[in-house]
Amino acid sequence: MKHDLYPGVVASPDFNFFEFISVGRKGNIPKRIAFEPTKWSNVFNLAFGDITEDDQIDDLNISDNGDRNKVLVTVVKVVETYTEKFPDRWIYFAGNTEHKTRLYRMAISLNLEELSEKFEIYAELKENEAIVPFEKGLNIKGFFVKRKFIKFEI
Amino acid sequence: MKKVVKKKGKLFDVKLNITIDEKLSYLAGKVQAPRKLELANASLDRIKSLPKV
Repeated sequence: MKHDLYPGVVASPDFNFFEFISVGRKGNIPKRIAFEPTKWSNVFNLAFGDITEDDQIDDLNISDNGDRNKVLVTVVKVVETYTEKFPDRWIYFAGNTEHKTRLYRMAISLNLEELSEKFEIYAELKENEAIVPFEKGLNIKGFFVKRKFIKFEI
Repeated sequence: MKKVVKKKGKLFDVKLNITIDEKLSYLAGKVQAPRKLELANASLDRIKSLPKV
């Protein structure tokens, strides 16, 4: 599988907002990714979706633009870039529908080996809301990821 | 018959070019997805701490 992504990603100077244009069968759809501070100073909520007319993120809309994988790869690469700049920050994300959460879980499962090289990945379980290391097949409510601390040996 | 082996590309080998755009400065401090943020905060209320990594 080739990992295509969208070129031309723009970022705000504080690196908390990223935008790109999804190009597909429904036309050109502007997308925005935001890393929003939560009540915990080291945890940032990842919000992602179409940019609405009132300049917010619509994370409920399903664009159906035929470029799902390209969009997901672009988001993962933005998370990679963001956590390179802010390695101490945890990123929290969850789908706002069962379908989206399952999609994220499947995407992580399929690329777990590679993602685990760079990220600590934890799952918030649906049944008891415990935070456990991500594994395939869990019943997940949300995800916590953080850049892995890599020790260099000389 | 020749066996076709599909090789998976490496996600981290793909380069992402990012341009900083001053025009996006106006977004600083603006909550973009309030409902999502509320849910994230609710999740944090339920847990005591994150793993030490």
